[in-house]
Amino acid sequence: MNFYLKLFLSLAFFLSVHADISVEEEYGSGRYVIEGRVFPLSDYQTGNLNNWQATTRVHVNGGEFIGFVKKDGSFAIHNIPSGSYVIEVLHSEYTFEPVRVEINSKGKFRARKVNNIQTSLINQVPYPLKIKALGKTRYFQIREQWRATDLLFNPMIMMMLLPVLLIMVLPRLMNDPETKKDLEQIQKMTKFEVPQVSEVVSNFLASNTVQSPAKDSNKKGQKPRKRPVTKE
Amino acid sequence: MANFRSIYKVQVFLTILIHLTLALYEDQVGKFDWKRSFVGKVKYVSLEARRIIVATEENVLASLSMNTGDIQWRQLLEDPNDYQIELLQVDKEILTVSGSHNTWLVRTWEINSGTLLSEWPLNTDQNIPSKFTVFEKKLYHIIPVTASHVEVTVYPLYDVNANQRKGILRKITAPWIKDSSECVVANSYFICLESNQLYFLNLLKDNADFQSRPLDSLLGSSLAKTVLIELNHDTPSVLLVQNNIAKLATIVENNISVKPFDLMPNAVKFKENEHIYQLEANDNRDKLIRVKAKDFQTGKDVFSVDLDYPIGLGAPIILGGQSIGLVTKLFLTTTDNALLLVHLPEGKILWTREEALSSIIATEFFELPISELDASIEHEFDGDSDIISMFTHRITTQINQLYSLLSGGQSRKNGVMVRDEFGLHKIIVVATRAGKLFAIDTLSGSIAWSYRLPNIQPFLSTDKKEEMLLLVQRTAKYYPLPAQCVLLAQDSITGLGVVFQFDPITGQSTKGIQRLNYKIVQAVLLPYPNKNLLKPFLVVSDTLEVHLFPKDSISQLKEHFSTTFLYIADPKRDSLNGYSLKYSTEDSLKLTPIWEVNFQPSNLVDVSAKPINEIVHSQGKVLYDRSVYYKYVNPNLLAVATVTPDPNHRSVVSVYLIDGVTGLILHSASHRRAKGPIHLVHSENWLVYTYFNDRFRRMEVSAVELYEGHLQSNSTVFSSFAVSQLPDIQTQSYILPAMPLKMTVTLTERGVTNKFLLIALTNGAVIEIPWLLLQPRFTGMPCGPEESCIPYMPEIPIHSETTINYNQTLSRISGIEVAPARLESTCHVLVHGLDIFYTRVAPSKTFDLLKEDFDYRLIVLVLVGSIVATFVTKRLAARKALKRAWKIFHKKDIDKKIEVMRICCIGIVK
Repeated sequence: MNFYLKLFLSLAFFLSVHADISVEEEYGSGRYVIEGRVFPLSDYQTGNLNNWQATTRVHVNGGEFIGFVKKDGSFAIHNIPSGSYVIEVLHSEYTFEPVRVEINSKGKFRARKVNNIQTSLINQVPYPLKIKALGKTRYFQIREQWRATDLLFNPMIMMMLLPVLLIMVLPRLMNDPETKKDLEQIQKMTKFEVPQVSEVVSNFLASNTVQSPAKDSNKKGQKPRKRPVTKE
Repeated sequence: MANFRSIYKVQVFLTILIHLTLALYEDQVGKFDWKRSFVGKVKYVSLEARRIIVATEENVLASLSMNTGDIQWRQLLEDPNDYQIELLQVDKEILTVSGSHNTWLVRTWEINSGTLLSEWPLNTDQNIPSKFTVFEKKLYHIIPVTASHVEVTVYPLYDVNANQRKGILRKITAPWIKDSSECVVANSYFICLESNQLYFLNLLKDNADFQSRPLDSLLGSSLAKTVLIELNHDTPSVLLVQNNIAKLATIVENNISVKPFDLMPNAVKFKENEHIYQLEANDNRDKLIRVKAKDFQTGKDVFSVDLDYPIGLGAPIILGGQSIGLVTKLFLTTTDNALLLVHLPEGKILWTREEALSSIIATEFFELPISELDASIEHEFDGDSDIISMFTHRITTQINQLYSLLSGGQSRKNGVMVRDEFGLHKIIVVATRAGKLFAIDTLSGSIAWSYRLPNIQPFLSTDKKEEMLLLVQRTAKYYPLPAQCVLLAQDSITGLGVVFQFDPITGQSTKGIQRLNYKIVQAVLLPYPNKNLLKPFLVVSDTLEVHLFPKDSISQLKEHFSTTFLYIADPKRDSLNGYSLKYSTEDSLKLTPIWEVNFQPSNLVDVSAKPINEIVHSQGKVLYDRSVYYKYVNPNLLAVATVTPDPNHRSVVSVYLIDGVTGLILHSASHRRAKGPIHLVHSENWLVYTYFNDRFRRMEVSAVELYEGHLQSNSTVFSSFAVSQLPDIQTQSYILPAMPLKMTVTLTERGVTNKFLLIALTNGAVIEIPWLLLQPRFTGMPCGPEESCIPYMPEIPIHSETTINYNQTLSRISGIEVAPARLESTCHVLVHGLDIFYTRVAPSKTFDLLKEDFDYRLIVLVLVGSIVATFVTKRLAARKALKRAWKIFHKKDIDKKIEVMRICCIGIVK
């Protein structure tokens, strides 16, 4: 996630229009203006969003005061009494970092990064605000891509491949007399205790050797798949 | 917006979170969600070439398409409770003046895209309602100062540097003036009606004074109450309305005169047109409304057209219009806030918008009834039919069922809505502030039916919240009995109670609107259905009398008198009172007060009970030593939030958990230097609430969880009276890096699925946060995936992926409603406000449903492949066995031959 973010940041090519430094205005009623400028990602990143100004809003303290973005990306929020405010730039496609702006009773402005955990930590940012898009907002999970290994490790493919393996490879193994002997031994040792699958395998292997009729009846209740193999 | 820094911090836990948070896939957009956008009740309108610019009471400026009525763009200005648009002027660009009292903002907007062009504040010292008008590129601000004078300030609008914009103030003495409500602006004149004198002032002349004319000389009589209504015309003119008859007064060269003809009070005129339009009631039942155009000078009827007025809409008024050649378009709004565009001379309604939906007060989800086909099988034992006919009936219905199954779903057949297998298709009944009921189809978002209740309004609950009650008396489960729902509201004039019973599926009402002769303070649905399977409800009046609806269900209630308890939250006295029905008799229901909690001097802000239909699946939590810690699940528990003004700590937020039966306070917590907005979410054995921490200037969220302990007192029935010890309470607080507007929790059929909190934020997103992330951690308990516990994080991470409405920003969210689907994993969510958004969420993913990307083709392919492979290998194996058998036979044969030869050889040798 973070990696992607950095990638976006490094790729981001910002509009290099310089913000004209505006003078802090003071009104008779002790109300101030918060000013700043929004920088979207460059056009080749934004694609068809040529009208981003109309859909961008600036919220002060979650909508207590509202600012709108002009054509050049600048915004001014009027009638704000002194205090501490969180400025958020909202756009449905882009993420912007919120900024805290403090206006003291004398009308001095200070802007800093929002830090909810260490509230006293001051990480100052320039005022008038220059708010840049961090990147495109990711709302969606990405569907997993098709990969050959996925197909291979698909349980159903495994299910198909295993019998093939059993048919093709095991008869080869059986031709080796030593393994044959070993298997026979295993079979004798684990006549009744063996779990089903190994029994099936060993029965299949044993089918080429002598078979007692008793064992045959023992296997009747088992999976039919092995029957063509065991049938003599 | 999502806090990326916090994401970085919890990256370590992301792996755990991946199992908890789930985002949509991009291709799921619009598959089961829909959004409808609204603008609200229109205040000002201006018809342009291909668009209609509207300014509404929701403090919204929007552009609607002339042809379809769709929103082209919409700009939301400040909170409509504090600020209102007071002027809309459309020229080359749009000019709005919005604000309140003494702070105003003058903004200009681009007409095509709605981009802001300029903005400047307009502050005055006078905190009085005032009027604005624009004339010759100048903005006039008119403030009537009671019993003193009128202040007129003129501001130049264009070609001025914003910083040097200065108004020219002029004071005109007017000792008779009271307030602005008696005054109108007509063109360049400011006209007031005060104590039977008509005063008018020319705004354009710098030194003009008020001139007056007695009303008698204009109208003849001045006995009846006269009202001024403005009329848009080049000649300054107003309507003088007396006894519902309007007279047209015009000012020509500083002399006011009244035209000799009568008009309706709703008469309207608009620029570049010489006709006055008015609406009249029509006798024709198909065309209820008639538009009449009159000549401005003579008052003669020019033409009149009957409108194809849709049934169900309220009485219309004309807000604006436009004439191009012979074609005239009239923009109407109705008493139920609908918007219509009428095309004249045909009298055709081009489109209708139901703007009442922008202010939903109450909602309820309803399951649909079973289809007629499924229902017909129930008729088998209806009549006294013989065995054969019963048998044929059953067979035919079953064949029909099979046929409809094969022909692909019956849910949309014949346009009739029927229940689906998973309960995903529901109907949402909403009650709006305008007093109109709507039923909305969850699949398409279309309106199934609507019903207008004249003169009703919502109750005012704690913290000035508006409320209406929708009580579900009977669901659609009990075929052939129809579902029944009841709406409780109050009369908008008298404030007396209004009861409206209706079928939520069809919108039909058998009884109509019942107006009660008392005010409602509380209403509660009783869980004892009567013989018609109808749940009765109790209504408590303001004099604490109890009324039962329907009255005949007293026989069900009387057995439960001693176990029926009520509570009433009184926002005026900031108290919570508990009552019992214990001393009631069959003839008179009586409330006996049993407890009272008085919060004064605190302000009661919110009271929250648990959802009635919630089921707690798991009775306890398994601790790390594999012992069970039982949950304290008290269905009677109430959560109460209060805010106390405090001299030392500014304000203190307190939260209480109170047993609704006994009044026992189980838990209380207070947060100093904290303030609202407070949102409570109360579910199962826990409570989550948010508040603003003033000291650290951040939103915080606290979680409270209640446990009984290692022993469960009674596993079958809970009793509030059987208190042996207070529950063990765990609490924990977190930082929420966003501003919540509304908060709720998901609800599922059986409560097995994980709980997710749904939080609507001020930025227009609705996010989901797993309850596991907030659940208070046990001290000394190791935290890890095995315990399904996430290590404590002070700041709750908000990812953009958890936004359930993805990039569909929702404005001014006023509520989130949830309802369970029949599928355990799924929960219906309706977010309402200025937009309506419906979606489904699955907090534990859709574990009971195949994924939609499930590959049916692959499984069929594999299955067929396996079968083919089985047969092929069977054949191959058989062939191999045969070959081997032959081989052995041959070998034996050869052996035999050799043996024979050997014997022969031996014989020969011998």
